[in-house]
Amino acid sequence: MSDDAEAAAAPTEQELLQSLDAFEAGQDPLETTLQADDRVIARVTDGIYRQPGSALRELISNAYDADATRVAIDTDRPRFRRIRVEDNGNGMSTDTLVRLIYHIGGSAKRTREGERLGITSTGDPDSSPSGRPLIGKIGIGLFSVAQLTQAFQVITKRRGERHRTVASVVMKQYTDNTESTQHAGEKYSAGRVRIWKEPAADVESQGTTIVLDAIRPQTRDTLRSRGTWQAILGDSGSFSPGSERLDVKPPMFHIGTVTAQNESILEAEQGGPRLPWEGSDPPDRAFRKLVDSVWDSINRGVPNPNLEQLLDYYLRMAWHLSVWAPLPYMDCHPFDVTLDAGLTTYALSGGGVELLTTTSSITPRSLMDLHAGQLPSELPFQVLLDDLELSRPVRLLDLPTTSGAAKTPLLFFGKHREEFAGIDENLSGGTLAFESYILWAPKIAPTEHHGILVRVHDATGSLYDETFLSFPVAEQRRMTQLTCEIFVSEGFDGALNIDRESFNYAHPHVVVLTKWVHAALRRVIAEEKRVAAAALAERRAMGERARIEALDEIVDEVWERERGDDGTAAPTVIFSDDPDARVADGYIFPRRRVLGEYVGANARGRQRQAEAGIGGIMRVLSAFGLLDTLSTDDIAELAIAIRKIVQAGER
Amino acid sequence: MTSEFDSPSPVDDSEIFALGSYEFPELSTREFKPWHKPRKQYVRRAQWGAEIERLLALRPGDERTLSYLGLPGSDLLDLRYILDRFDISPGGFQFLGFDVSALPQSPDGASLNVALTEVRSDERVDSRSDIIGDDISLVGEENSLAFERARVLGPFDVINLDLCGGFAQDPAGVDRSLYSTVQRLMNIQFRNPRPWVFLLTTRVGPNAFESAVLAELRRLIESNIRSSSLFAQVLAENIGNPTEQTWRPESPFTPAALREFSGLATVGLAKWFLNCAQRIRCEFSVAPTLEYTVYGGSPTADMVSIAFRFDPVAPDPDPSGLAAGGALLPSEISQAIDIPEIVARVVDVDALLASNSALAGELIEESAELLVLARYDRDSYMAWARRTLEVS
Repeated sequence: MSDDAEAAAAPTEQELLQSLDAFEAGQDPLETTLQADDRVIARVTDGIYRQPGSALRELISNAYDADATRVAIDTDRPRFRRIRVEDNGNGMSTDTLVRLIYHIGGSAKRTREGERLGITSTGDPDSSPSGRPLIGKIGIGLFSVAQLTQAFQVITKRRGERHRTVASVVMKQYTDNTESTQHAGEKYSAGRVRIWKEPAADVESQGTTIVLDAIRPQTRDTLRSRGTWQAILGDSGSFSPGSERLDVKPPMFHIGTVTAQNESILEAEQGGPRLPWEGSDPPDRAFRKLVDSVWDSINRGVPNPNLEQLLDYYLRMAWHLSVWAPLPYMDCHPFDVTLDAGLTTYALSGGGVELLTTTSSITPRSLMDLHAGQLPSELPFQVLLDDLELSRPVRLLDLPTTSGAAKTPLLFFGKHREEFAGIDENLSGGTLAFESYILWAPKIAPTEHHGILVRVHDATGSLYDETFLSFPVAEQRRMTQLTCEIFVSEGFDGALNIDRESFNYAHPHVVVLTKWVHAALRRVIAEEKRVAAAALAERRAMGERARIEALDEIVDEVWERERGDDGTAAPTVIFSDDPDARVADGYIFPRRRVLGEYVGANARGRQRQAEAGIGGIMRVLSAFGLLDTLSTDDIAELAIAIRKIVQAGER
Repeated sequence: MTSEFDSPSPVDDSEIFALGSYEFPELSTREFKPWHKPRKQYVRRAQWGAEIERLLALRPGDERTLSYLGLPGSDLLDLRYILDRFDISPGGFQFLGFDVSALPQSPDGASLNVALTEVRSDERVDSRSDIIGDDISLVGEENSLAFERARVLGPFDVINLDLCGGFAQDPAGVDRSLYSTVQRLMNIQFRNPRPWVFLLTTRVGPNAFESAVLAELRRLIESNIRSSSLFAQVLAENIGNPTEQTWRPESPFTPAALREFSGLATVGLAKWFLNCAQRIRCEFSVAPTLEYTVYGGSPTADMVSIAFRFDPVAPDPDPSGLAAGGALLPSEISQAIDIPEIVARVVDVDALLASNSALAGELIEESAELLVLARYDRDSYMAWARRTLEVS
């Protein structure tokens, strides 16, 4: 049946609602089609996301928008024959679900209609009934699963209702051919729907469950990291010694894989699961162990851990979901790090940076009146993916150090509000307000966290942008030591592309944000350079002192052995071109003549080293009495010869 | 139209499509099934519930948790029963179920999905609880996903193998069998430091046993007969003195021959589980046994529900005497001796309900409560349940 014929044969929205009103337990399901008002939306529903994880992210966002406190994603990993996403949110009434089916992409969120259907707050169409700022807006989130599965089921219930509404959906593949058979104003059919009501004895329960049970083979392959395993196991898909396969090693941690012959059996030779947590670990500890395993790989010979090498697709997906979702941080929100926690903290204020006091247990949140990430304790949000309870895998404390001079991480906080005063809102997109932190640390892991991440209402769909919104300064090494999050509290929504994974760079909000970020980065980099230079100078000074002390010890030891307890001390050696220079008991060497010219980096430091070294040798010679018979000029010539030999040896 | 120049398709359709047709899977109709009968409620109440109650009573303090592995069917009645009857703490009930309705596009899939949503919405259910579509006998296979799931969720307080057919119908010595499944479950249960129970519902008629398996069960009993005259005496008094003919009754079966055979076979099964218990250092006992008739033409009960109790025993005492503590595992024969008498005291649930209408009425009510939770119509059920009692 063609799309228009299929849509025409289906009951109208009103007819279906009436039939469902009169629906009786045990009655056969009603059938209709999944409809989009616009074929562009149908096309969008068909697939705009890059990865299976994106579709799961959309379902998590839907649960958040429905005031859920808990979402559980259950898979039969590593087989991925079935995925269930279950939340305890407000659920949908039959009317809401029917509306969704008849108007894909025509979400009632952010409209007055949303309030009537009970999916938005009273009086604020941009918030959930409990006041969470909505993440979703156009209503394709649910149908993003079309990219994962050819069929799925929605089971939903609102508290107090004595039934659940159930819909089974079989998606249709979008083709360009169907467009030509369609006329303007006609609805596009994106799939078939069976809908019915089931009596519910658990009147007080609420929530929505989505079961994906016709997972597309390509999706399964991605979730199974099939490409990696095929390279490891060979084309047969099973390990057999001597078979032809690429020299690829399994990622450090993985969920294993099933055999090519039988997807109920785990490949054991190479692919037995290798997870950083135990089955008995509670979900929050299991996730912490996953995050720790990535950071700790720095100590296991992986200086720059990256998720691509360390984790298989599924574990990477868990990581990305934890970055994307509006979740608490694993340790604490960066705004809640106390100023005495061992980091150097700054406020990005005015045109520069202002050092915040480091002896106080006060937080930047209270000091600078920052609001992002203040999760109401009465409405927590918990996301479970199989064994794991996700939380933001961002570490700010106890970071690994390097051999570099600057070791203390620098944490900068800033905020900005742009009201575009005098500009028509239709042009500016309204007010933009955001808060931010920028962390400089000797090491940031994983490498995927180098860059900037923009969150709108605490959620994001993008990855860290390692170019920092195309920051034009070539600071390659320094850029890998920076990670930044922007928390947008007002505006920016309109700048997000439909997939929420990228933005429209021409949008005024993106332009303002980019300028702010680049200005902030310049100040951060300047401060980091200053701190690094000071640290380097201090280290050199300390090193010099230590070396000079070591030389003095050698000389004293030799002097004491040769001269015994005669009450004398090794002579002092000074290098000076000052004709008035005097020394009580020792030698004065003409500096330039003996040491030559020192120029370039750390010239003074190197010169001091040379003075200590040559001086030390001369003092040892003196201990043996070898200088006693030489003229001042000969002593100087001897020092020059020794310096040349030492320099030639160094070269 | 293809021509000779067209290259063959590089992929199989199954590599592109999860569904071959743009149609819904056939839906199964929700009819009342044999396990909806009031007698099954008696098994739940008198045996399963009683055993769980006993386990919970053994817990120190007020710990109210329960982990369960079973075959709950797409209605999840057993899980609902446990949640309905027992006071379990939030997140304290963890289950792993095996049912084909969890397979993609299964006719019962929609029903299971709703049932699972209902049960999992109970705050007492641990979020890792799940029903998987694998056949439970896959647990017996090395490296199976089914075993891996059980390993991660286990050990369990209750394992409930509530079969429609016979436990002993699989051939012996293969990976994918219920014996291998039990053996591998024992690997998991070995880690259980607390008493636990294995519930088994199985056919026990002469056709429900694979011949080599029956021969092994016979050998287990005969070995006890040879080694213990007391066991031989107890067996003879309670079940009978087994002869070649007892083990191989000939059709048409007389009620007496059937009773003796099923009694012996049940003792044999219990003996096999006793041996499992010995291997994982557990004391073993058999709880009161129930039976009922599934096959209409059978002159005696052909289905038995039996509960095997496992109670872990500490390691043997240190023979050198350096270390204190330890315990001795009772000998196999000392624990086998009680089995024939317990098996002989089996209660025929059909007969019990036929003779006790008050009890039957109670069970119909209780079953109805349970089935309403599973979205069945109360009145239709009551009418159906009464009819089944009249027929039986």
